[in-house]
Amino acid sequence: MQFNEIQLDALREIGNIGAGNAATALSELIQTKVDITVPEVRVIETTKIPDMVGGPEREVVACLFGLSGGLEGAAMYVFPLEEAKYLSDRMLQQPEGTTTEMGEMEQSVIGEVGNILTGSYMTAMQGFTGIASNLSPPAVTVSQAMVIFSEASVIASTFADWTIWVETDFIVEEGHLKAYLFLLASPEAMEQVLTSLGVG
Amino acid sequence: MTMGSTVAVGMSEVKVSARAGDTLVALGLGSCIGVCLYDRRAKVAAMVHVMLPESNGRGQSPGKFADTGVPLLVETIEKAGGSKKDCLCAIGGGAEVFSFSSSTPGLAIGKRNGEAVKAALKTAGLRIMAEDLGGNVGRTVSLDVATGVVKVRPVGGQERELAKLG
Repeated sequence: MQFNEIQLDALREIGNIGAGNAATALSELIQTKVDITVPEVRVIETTKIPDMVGGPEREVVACLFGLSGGLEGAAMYVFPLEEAKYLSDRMLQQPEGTTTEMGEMEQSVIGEVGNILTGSYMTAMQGFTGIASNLSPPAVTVSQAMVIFSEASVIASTFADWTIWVETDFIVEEGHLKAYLFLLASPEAMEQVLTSLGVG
Repeated sequence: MTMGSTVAVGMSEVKVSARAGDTLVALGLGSCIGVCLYDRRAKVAAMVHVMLPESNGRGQSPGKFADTGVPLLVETIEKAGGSKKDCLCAIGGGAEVFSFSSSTPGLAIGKRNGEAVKAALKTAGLRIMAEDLGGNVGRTVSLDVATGVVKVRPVGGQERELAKLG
């Protein structure tokens, strides 16, 4: 499946609006002003996913969701480990630096944040296309980036050869908080999206 | 003396080397499987980085699937001067990195990959000397061309020797 420029623009716009929604949601979650820079939205081949984040051995926390209903597929929300620890502290209302290990409680908290942020993008998708999808409860894991991203690639390749990737740079308390969304939808689902955007 | 190098075996790739000093490496395998094949006489090593169990007739990328990746691996080592009858193999990977609820897609790909690779190796008449499959952490698998030594390093753990195929 190939996308033309008009279709890519439409997908980028969904990513932009979704990132805006996500910033608002994050701001409410951690009770702090959150800004964003313009997110980077790309459509990439699934086998290239492991190359998408610098440092293959860098530790990340990933939340994986099944998509059902309107769009069939999966979505994955990924935080670098340090960002996840920071968010865990903020969510648990404890001093920064308290979270040293991502235990069950911390992973559950990050799963919740990932759920809300992924939901923000799905809401944007619904706003543009009228297609509503349900997210399954998150499966959360902590591992090296290369392991997580190769998993994303494997999961995606069971039904697609490419993924929509959105890199969002949240600005929180003058610091940068990077997060990555991978939308792993089937070719049929993507055609449905493009058709409802009027660019199919 | 020639300097060897690390030959990365990316997803769905097959790599072969007969250069003593080279090491074939599949980095960060999750549910993927690194299938290592070594001809002890010709001292040729090959590895395929399989992502999924069955090709179901999708022929564009044979290295991606267990059922087409294993025959491709054999073909590749034979083109490079190896002979199937002198080959031994070892496999590593097939973890379940995410703990899934039943509604999540991708359920048990690691386990299915393991079973499919073993079935394909059996069909090809190849003997598995050692395996390190399953669990829930990713691993890196390497194969040394000079010695046929296969090593496995789990994420956050110590590297260990899995097999010596040479």
